[in-house]
Amino acid sequence: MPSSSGTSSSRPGSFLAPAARYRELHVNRTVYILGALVLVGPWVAWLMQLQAELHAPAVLLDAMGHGTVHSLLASTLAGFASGSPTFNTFTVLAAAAFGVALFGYDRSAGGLLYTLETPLRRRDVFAAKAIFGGTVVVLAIALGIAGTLVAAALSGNLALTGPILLRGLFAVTGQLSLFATALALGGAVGTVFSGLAIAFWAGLPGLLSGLLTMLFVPVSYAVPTTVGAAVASPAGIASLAQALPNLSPFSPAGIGLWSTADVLALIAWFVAWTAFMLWQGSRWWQLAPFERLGDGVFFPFLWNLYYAYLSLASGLFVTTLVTHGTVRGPEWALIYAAAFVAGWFFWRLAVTRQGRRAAWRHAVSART
Amino acid sequence: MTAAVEMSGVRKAFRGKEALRGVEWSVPEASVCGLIGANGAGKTTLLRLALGLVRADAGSVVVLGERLGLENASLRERVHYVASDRAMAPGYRVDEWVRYASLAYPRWDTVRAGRLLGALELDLRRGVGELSAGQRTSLQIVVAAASRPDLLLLDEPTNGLDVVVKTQVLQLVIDMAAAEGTTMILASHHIEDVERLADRLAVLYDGHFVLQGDLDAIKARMHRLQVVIPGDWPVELEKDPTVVRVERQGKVAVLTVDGPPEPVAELCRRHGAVLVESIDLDLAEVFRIVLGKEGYSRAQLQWNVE
Repeated sequence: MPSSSGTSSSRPGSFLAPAARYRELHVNRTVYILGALVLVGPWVAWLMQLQAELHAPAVLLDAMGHGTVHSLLASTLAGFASGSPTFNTFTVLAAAAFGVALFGYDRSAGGLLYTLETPLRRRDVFAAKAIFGGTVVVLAIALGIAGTLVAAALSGNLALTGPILLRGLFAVTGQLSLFATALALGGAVGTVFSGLAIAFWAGLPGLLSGLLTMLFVPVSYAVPTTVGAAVASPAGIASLAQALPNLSPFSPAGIGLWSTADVLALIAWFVAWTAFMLWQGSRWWQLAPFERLGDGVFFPFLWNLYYAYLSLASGLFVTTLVTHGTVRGPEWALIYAAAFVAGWFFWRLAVTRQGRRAAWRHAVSART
Repeated sequence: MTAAVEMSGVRKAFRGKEALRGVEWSVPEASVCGLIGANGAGKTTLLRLALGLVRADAGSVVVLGERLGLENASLRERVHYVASDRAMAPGYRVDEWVRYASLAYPRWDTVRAGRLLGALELDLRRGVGELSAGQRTSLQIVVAAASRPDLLLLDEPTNGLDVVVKTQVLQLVIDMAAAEGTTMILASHHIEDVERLADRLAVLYDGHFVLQGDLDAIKARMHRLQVVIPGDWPVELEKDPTVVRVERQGKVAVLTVDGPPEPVAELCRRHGAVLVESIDLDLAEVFRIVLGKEGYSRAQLQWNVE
């Protein structure tokens, strides 16, 4: 007597189908575990620092100019609440890399395309990653914030509870916005491209260009630059490295210190951005043509963004080399624009030629 | 009779190259349709269209009464796709993949799955990636049968199967079609499998159908005559549009006729044929003739030619 069991993966009213849940946790469990470890890592280091300070000997406290543990931790926790130590590029990139990896690993090793032949809704695939991935990000930060609050309580710094919670909320929403962006891109484009896009989002081209410039341009040059809306002081190479992140309003790498109102506004922005990216990412993932799901870029027009990305980075580098810090303001911007346009055509030609060569090789191997 | 698959004016291109060009296709419910065609004719694309995975650039696709849209997941609860010679579900053990399928398909039949897994001797604890090509196909067949589909799409299902398992699998497919009225589309280069299973035939060439209809009717339309004509070879035979192929060896010739054979036999007799007899025509020959008319042929390969 045949018996039926199981539930429809697309049953109306079910938010996340059991099959999607089972598949996601089965296929990507390694990514979730590794992601959790990487995201928790900086917080563990931070909590170890607090632990050490809680047990700092009197000699060390005197040497550091703090009479008591309360005073030392008040200073450390206030620094934390103002945003300096932990919400750094590493944790930002870790959240982004985690988002990219959830689709990247699935595509390369998880048989994602094969499972789409079953009654699995694409939006459920996306929703499962968003829910489980988002939970990992939130739990990692919640763990860090909880430990920080315990340290504040143990050292008698309960007055810092509010700022610490605000800092935690900022970290959660900020990292979630990056995670959501990475997930959306990971679903809409291939792993390499989404990785590059996320690196751009986090301001990596500016940092990379700054590092390259340091290698090739004598440090004695002060580089007074005005890039877009961001006015950098003539403080040398570092300002150049910061210039591009400042262009990206969503890049936490380009944000300085703020008032509580600024932070709350930014938190609201992060929440809105996260919601938008999750919605848009799900839509992109649903629209991506099946036959292109194995490609680097699912939508051909996205190649233009790829060229733009490379041109932004190479243009900044070339402009700095050409001007040697002797040009500023609109003139600098003009040279940069020219380098950007030239770079766009250069990268387009290079990528197209590479694609043709690959297609030719493929055709030859198919014939033989 | 309602159609399980109805395609009209379907076009699909991949990277600028047209894979399907204006496909018109209708597969009646509860039929078994053999889909044959040359390599790269578009068979797999057609099946993936019917599964709602690939979207047509133009035209309409209606499967089991549903016009295909963006997701088509609910349709895939009733349509199952089996293809051999490919990696599937890496990272799963056999029992894990069956568990996933039991959650994904609402009409999952646990008893049937267990019985078939045993009959096909699939080790539940083995990784799917470690299975041989034939075992992977067997696993797909188990999942297909246990999900109790209304439409089963089989893409070269017998590739990689040994004779014993192949017989097992084909019998299972026949039983499913007979007992549950499952509509089946069987894309295969193994024409003998198609001939054994199908009651309808569709021949795809260069992205469009060059022949489709009832298999018996198609076979009844084509005939083969062996004739012996001692005298001069009648030129009229070469000009007769129903004579699609002539193979001559001296006075003996084999004629393939697309249409009623009697007029051709009569013509041969008028030219002094001492023997005119009908001989069997298999489906492979029909396939060659149909594609030959479309200009598809290959020169015979010569070994050791400089």
